[in-house]
Amino acid sequence: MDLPTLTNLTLAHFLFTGAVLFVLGLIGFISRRNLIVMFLCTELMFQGVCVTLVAFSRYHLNYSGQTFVIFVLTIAAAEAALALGLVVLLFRRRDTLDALAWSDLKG
Amino acid sequence: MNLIVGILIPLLPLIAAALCLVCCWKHAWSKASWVVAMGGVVLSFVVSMLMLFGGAAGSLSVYEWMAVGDFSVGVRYFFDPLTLLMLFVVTGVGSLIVVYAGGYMKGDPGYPRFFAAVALFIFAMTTLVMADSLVLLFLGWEGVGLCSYLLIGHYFQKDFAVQAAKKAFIVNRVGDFCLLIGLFLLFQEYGTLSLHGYTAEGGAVVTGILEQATLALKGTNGEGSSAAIDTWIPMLLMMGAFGKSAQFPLFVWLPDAMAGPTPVSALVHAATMVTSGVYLIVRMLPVFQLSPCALVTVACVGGFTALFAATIALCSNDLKGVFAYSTVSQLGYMFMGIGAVSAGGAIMHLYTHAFFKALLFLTAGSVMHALAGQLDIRTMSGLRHRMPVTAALMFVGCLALAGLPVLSAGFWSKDMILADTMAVGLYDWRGYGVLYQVIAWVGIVTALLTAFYTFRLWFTVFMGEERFVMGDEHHDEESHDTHSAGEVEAEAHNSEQREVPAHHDHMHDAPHEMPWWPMNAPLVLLAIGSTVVGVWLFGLLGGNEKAGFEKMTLDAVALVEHHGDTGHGDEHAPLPSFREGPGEGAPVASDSHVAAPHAENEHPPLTPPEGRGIQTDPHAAADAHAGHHGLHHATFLGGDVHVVMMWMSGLIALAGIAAAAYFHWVHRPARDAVAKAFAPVVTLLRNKWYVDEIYDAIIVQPLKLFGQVFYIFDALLIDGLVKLTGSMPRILGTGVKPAQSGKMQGYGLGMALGVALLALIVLVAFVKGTG
Repeated sequence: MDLPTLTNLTLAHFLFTGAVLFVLGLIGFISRRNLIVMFLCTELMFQGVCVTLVAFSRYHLNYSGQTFVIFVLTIAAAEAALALGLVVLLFRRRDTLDALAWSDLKG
Repeated sequence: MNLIVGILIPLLPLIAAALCLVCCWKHAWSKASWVVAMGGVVLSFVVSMLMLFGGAAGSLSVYEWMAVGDFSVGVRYFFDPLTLLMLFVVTGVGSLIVVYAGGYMKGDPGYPRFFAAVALFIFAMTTLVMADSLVLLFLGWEGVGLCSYLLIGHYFQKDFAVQAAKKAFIVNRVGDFCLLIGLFLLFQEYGTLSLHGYTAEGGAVVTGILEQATLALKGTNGEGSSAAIDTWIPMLLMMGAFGKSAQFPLFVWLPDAMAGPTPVSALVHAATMVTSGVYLIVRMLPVFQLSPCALVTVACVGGFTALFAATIALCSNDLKGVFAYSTVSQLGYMFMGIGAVSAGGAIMHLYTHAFFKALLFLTAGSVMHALAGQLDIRTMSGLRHRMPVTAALMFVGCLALAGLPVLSAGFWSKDMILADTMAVGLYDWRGYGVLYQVIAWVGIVTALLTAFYTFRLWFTVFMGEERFVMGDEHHDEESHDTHSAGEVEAEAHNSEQREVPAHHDHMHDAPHEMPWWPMNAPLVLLAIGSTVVGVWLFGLLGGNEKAGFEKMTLDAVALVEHHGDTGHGDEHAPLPSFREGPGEGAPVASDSHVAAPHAENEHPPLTPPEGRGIQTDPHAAADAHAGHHGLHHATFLGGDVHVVMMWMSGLIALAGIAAAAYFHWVHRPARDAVAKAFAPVVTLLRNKWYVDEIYDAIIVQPLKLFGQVFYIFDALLIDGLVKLTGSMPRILGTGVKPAQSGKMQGYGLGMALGVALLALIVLVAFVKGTG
């Protein structure tokens, strides 16, 4: 990997970062059973997508992507409040954060 | 007299009914419901009488109910002598019964509910008799049916009352269904459901059914139309009337209807509602005359029912059952009268019957009340000392029912029907002469039976040595121990013992007389109406032959008569002989020459026009030659038919009373001997000819079987299909069920893989597209 490629930030770097964030989040979501961690992983996936959107926005000089990210952040904040509240309630019901405790609809 | 006041007649009882329902709200208010109901009904009576004596006539349009294209139904009332007379019966007798009921129902937990239903009944019944549109009439018709159902089922905690209420409702549905089909056909045939003509709001003139039918009848020279629909219509209307008025095929509900409180039996099931079928046919007389065979059918069914019900009453041991069957029998007389084109006789009998049968039921109620609900007359004897006033009042009623010559009201009306039937038979009207003569003879035999069973009851209950058994709420079984014809029969008879006394504060005391107010006082008025005074009052109210109800029906009758030189028929057609004074009983000599011109001027709409083709009709010509000695002045057994029939029915009534006195008072052992000799007959009659059982076997059981078959069909085929459809997803689901692992991670992975797959597809497509 030559130096200029590393010093000159291109679109690919941002997309790569976004993809890494997203995949990390995905792996975390699939591999962990703690509800809070799983929730954090979904946030991580959000951020991966957001980085991608901002990168494309800057690349195309079209601000729709950044606008969209603002919306996503707003909604993510609201959703975080709700989701954490739900997690607390679920914890009270079963006294555990294990997602496997909630498998009543198992076929 | 402004006709608009007429609105008050149905409106006041309706308001009273609503207020009575308000009285249900609090227990403390329930006493007020009697006063409210009484107020509504009595005021309605006062308004009716104001209209009657104010000479109200014509139609009153209140508002347009509904309009669909050319078809419009208006709330229009029509006032003529017939309606006003019916209003007198409904609200007058109704008032007296409501007054009585205030005492009878005292202490009943459903006190306000009872009076609400009674007031609503008066509303529906007045609507029925005032309606000019048949749709409105049908509304009242169903309204009285509903109130009858509610009142029969007043003691809804008792199974027999509920069963009786259901039976009444369902049997009436059969008749009402026919009536409804009849109305459809009437609309199809006449293009309107209005009885009399009127001018619509747009200025269009609508010709009423009666006018159209009268015209059509004139077109056939009174012979009747040969078109099938002109027979179908009256036949279907007739079935409706038979259902409501408890005639032969559909009479089974009325005896069971005695499960209601006794004032209801008196008001709804004796005096008013059950006579609405009679009213319907009298009102629609031209439509019935238009059919060549409708009226003779009415007469046959009436005559048969009269005899049939009288035989059952002969052996019934149920105090109210005897009167219930006698009501069926007397209604049969009324239909016999209409069938013989003696609408005057039928309505007069309706009127007198309303008085004496209400009186009989209410006095029976007093006896039952005094004996704490006892209904079995075999347990009663010699009660005259305990209840002298009731005994005397019931005696007056019994005399009227039996038809004591001259002094009682029932004699005059029954005699009028019998004489007119015989006269029509002798005249050979429409070729049914023999049939009418047979019916008249049946009527005479029935008169004998009537006199006998009426006084059998009275002598049994009030004469002889004193003996009584107090009843109680659980008397259903004990009084029918002699009946041993099996379970079904026992079931049927349980329903005979139906009444639950309103209160039991004297449950095991000796029976005592009823108080004058509010119980005996109205009965005295009814008793006065049951005597010859009632007949005089009838003439005053509408029996007036010059202008009143009788004139109206005479004009209707004139249409069927060909004789009479001015084409008006015999003006004295069904002349009730009471107008000549009770003693002599000879009908007025025919003077239609004098009467005819008057008729022409006074009642143009219903009298046939001059020269309606008499000369072209051979029958008419012959009749014209015979003059007015045709239809109603035939010779019978060597005398004028009216005089002979009067003597005959009078003597027969006396014979019946005498026989009853011998068997049930003077020499009671003879009664038992006769009963033993005719044991099979007695058993047959006690079981009411097994009519209930036959109906059960041929109608109820097949229907139940039918229902069972369909139940099985439904359970196997329909349910099977539905369940099969339902089970399909489950069968399919078992294959893919493991995919639903319940592990969130698994779902996440699946989703990620899915997205990855889609992305791969898009990528491949993209690469291929660009490459």
